[in-house]
Amino acid sequence: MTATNPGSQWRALSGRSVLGGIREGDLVFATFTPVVFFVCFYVPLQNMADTLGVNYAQYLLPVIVLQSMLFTGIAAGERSATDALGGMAVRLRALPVPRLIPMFARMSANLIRAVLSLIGGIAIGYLAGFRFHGGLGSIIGFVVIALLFAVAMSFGADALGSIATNREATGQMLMVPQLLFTMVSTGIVPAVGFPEWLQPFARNQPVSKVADALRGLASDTVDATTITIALAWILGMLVVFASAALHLATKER
Amino acid sequence: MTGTPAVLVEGLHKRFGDHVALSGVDFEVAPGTVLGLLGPNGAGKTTTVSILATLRRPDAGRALVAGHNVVDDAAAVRRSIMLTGQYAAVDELLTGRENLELFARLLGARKQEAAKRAADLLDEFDLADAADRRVGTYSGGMRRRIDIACGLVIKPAVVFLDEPTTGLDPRSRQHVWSLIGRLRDEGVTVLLTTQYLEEADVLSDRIVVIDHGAVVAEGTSAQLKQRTGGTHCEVVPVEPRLVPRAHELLADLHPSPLTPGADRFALPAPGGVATLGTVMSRLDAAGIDLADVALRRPSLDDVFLSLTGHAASGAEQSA
Repeated sequence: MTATNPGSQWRALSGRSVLGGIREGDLVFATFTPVVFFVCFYVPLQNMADTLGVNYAQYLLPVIVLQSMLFTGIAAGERSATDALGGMAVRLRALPVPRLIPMFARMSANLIRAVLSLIGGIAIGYLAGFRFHGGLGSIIGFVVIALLFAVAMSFGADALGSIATNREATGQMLMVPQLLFTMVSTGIVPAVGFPEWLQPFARNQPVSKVADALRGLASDTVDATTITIALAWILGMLVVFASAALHLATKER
Repeated sequence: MTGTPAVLVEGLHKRFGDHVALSGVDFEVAPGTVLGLLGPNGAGKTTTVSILATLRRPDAGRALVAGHNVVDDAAAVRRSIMLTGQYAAVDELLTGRENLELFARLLGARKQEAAKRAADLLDEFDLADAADRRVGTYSGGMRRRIDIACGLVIKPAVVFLDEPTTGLDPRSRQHVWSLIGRLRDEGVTVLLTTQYLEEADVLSDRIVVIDHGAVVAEGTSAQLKQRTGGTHCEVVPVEPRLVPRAHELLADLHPSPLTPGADRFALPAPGGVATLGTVMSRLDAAGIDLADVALRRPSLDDVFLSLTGHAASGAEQSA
């Protein structure tokens, strides 16, 4: 018998997930979702921002990027639920494939999806006047923070999907936090736009905090505290969600 | 039995919360034979297969597959087996060929070998025409075939088929049956779970009957049938009104009591064909035409009923 190799198993399974993403249209969807959402917010709100003297493309793009990373998380949940419910996860556990390989393969497909969303978001942002004003360092910082956020979300959703009882319900359930954290954030309108009782949440929730950091990096006005808070949120979520995903992937049943 | 068994199960226990799924299951499967694990829904068939395929850990007991312990040496077991579940566990978005190549590569084949093996299996499983269509568009029977084929990209020592024909139409079922026969011909050990008595009867070299998580009987199909009594002869006159008259003529052969209104009756046939001859000549002499007369051996349905106290199909409905 030919020896199995975890590296080529990971490549084969990642290729399978990416191919599935292409066939389902999900990768096209991933690229265009941020474009659509950007246009939906930008068109009605840019005049208001103009009168306040704000470049709205510069203001809005970070939350559009983060929203598309949340959508990547939702797709990750559906991907993992499909494996769990369709029997693929069970079958792979009965093969000489290390327990973590299928999950890492799904994660690499999620990361590719996140990169496409980031490209779609930045492209539409550029058309509307968004610019990176800092150097290469801040561009890299922007990309890394956005992708780490997507990875953290994908780990959480992958864990949830692996114990799901219904693929569609998993996706729909995850739509609620996606809407809540995108809409009730300071990424679309500043905190003053919310009723007073909602302002503390809008200002301090993770999407707002991470959007602040992205906006600061793009505009080259960021300070260390903003970056630290954003990274603390992301790394905290990464630790919690990744350990849940690792635990569920390796659990003895 | 010669040499070490391909599958050895000793005192297997497994519970899920309060529910006892297995309460001490023992059996073995000789290399190159087909064992039918027969039982109603909820009897513990799938739990047994899950433990043997290293998907679940037993609470107690020991199981060896191809000589490897399923708990201590799960990796070696996984290299020796193939598992097909009750549903087709393949990727619906990939084509049949892509699925086969995926599994070949997961099992260590290089790209070219994987492509070659996939092409061979597509021919062998009569799926060449559908090779480049997504599995999502396949019929139930085709899916089951591609599912089984995916497990054979590298020849396994032991194949677990968990209810391989559940939900299939008769033609597809026939196709899966012939596949199982072919596996045995190639020397692969097969453990097949089924709730279809007919399936266990046709395919298995030996049958293990389980109910409520324990083995209630085992043996060849013939041995199990023997346990419920011998062959009998069934008599069906053309004209139902002549049933009592025929019954009377054969009274010395100890026919079973007549059910009022029945169009037939049965009598023990220890002499086999000789009994059949006696029946036919006597009724012929009396001018009673027969619609049917035949020797009947007890079916596995009868066996199941007598072993478990309930019918296999009835158990399925009430589960």
